[in-house]
Amino acid sequence: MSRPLVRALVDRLVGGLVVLCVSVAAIPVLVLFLFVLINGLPGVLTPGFFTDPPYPQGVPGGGVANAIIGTLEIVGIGSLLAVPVGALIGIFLSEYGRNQVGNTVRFISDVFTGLPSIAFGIFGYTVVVLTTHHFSALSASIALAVLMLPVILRATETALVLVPNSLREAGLALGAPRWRVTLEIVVPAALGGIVTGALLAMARAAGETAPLLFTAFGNDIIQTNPLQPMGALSLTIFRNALVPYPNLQQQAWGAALLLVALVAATNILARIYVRRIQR
Amino acid sequence: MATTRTLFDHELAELKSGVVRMGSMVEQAIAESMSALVDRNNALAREVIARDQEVNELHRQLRERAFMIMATQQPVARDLRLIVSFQHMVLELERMGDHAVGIARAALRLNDMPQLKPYIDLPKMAELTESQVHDILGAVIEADQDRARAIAERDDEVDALYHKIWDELVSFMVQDPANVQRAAILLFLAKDLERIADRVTNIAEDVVFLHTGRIVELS
Amino acid sequence: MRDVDAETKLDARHVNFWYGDFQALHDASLAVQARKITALIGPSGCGKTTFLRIFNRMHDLVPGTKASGEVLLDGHNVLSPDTDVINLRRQVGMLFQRANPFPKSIYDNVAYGPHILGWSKQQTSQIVEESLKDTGLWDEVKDRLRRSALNLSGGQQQRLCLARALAVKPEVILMDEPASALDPIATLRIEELMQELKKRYTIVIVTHNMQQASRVSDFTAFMLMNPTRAGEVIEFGPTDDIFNRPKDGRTEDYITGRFG
Repeated sequence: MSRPLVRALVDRLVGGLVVLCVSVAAIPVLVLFLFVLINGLPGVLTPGFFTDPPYPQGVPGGGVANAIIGTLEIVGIGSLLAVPVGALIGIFLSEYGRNQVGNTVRFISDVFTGLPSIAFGIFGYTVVVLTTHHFSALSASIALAVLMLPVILRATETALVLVPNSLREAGLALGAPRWRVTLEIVVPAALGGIVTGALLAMARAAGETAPLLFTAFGNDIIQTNPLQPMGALSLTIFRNALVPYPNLQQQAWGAALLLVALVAATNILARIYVRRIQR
Repeated sequence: MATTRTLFDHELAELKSGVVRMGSMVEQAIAESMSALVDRNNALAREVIARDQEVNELHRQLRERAFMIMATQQPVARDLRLIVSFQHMVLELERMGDHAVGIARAALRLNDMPQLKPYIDLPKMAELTESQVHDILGAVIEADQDRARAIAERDDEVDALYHKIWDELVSFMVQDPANVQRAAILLFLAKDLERIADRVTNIAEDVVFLHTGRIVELS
Repeated sequence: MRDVDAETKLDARHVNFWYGDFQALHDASLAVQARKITALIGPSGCGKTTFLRIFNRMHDLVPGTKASGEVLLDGHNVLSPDTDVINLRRQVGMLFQRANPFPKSIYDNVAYGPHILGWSKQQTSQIVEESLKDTGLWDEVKDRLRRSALNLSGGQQQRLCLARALAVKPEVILMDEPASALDPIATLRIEELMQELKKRYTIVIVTHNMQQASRVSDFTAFMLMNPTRAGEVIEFGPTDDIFNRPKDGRTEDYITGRFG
């Protein structure tokens, strides 16, 4: 067989192998998504899914309104805590942290990213629940905030490091002090990356279950007081999956679909935003 | 010092050898035109006149080449001074060639008439002038500005001889009207020699410029 | 030919400079004349940009650098620790090799300096217009001041950076190969601008382009790396002298392109 022919065949073969590997990796994800979609659709399409809390057993209908509000509020408060702090630490690391102190912070942050999320739950439980003698959404928010912090921190630092040094030089050469160059030139230039990092951290936090188990604890009533226990989509899924009531299970599937859709949408939005910024 | 412009250096060397070649052609023309006069050789005179075409052609070529080098190589500093000097020298040499032709033409006319007087001072002046031309070409080849200055100073000797010849010829004209025509032609011939010697001084100034970048008046 | 208003604006005396243990500049001295253009020329790595950046203390941004000697701006040593570096950088502006406009609007770019200085909105918009006019950009951009500066062409961006530097009313402008990334026409525009600007500002330009140096500058300094790889000033003088009758053979070898 001629050389070019052999080469073409090998090329095709390897190409095919790569496609096969990608498929093998992609298929579980697709299957999962389809599974959630098929099982969750009936739940989501039930009237009252979005507007009603779960009703007591025997009463038909009900929904996950409590969980939706809960997830939004818990993640919302957690973000309010984590995003500013994480962004500031990220700015510090990028602009003033090229030293031993910075390296230490980075190291700790990386370790935290690897911790099992239940550890953050235990933290929230110990620090807030035990001291206030209450389960509360606030304790969950605090636990999630600590979980989100390393992610936001690293994303912010990366975004800032990517800003070309020539911009800093230009600002400094005009007679601007360092802190003004950082806040007025570098951070705005890195905003795309920072926002993306924050959004992705929030999406991740929305999906967490373990930290909420003994902090927010869950609540079947629609309520917005952060000092009281609160429901969340992930908790609903966790609890309802184990009970033998089909309508509750259906709500769990619906919540799963909703959560997956929420996380997917956030990711897609973040990517669209980045692309728009880059233009 | 490694050179990174071998092509350019080659072109400059070619230009220089062209200038030197033209110089020798002019040197020869001057010597031969004077021989044509002293030996009463019309054939030689006509040869000098004919060969001036080659001198003019060489002049044209060298000026063109110098211009092309400036346009394409953007010379600066000593390279620019070199090219500008050569352009000027070549012009002076071309004029010297014209003066030699003038001498040859004068010889042709004088040779048809009885000799006015034995030629003594004119050949002496010619010899001085020829050695000036020869020496300045040497100074150009060696790029020796001190030698050039020394040569320029000797122009005084040529001028002194010129004035002597002038006075003698004028007295001839006063003595006898029949002498006027021949004396007049000889006056112009002496003038041609004197102009050649002057142009040697100009070339000497070019050699000094090549070195110092300053235009000085010599002698 | 002594200029009547000849005065030394920036006087570098025996400057030595180290990146850590490596000496990059050795005994470099330079007397920059006010309202004249001084060019720094020399082969790559000879320290011209390093030398330039000392004049506005930009070397402070690189850790581990050390400078000795004096750089006097109107008599005050710029290198002394009690120099107000922020104010120095306002007095001594810089134009970089690659245009680096902020990812903001054209107006905000030029207004940034005045903004730092705390000028009023009216003062700022006046100085923005003046600076853009001084760099020949005003007519080209006056209708799109609020659009992003990144949409301008390379030459326009560089002129914008120049306007930005002018907006803080510096006395000296340092230019680090400002036209090296530009096409010939944009380059000539910058050079023409420089001729205009030198009536009011002192300009020091580092350039690789010798024809540019000889076209544009009043004074030229030739620098070279010595055997220990530290940069030195070999010759300094009026541009006419340097380019027609350089005193040092190394200078002549460099400008005639005979450099090995």
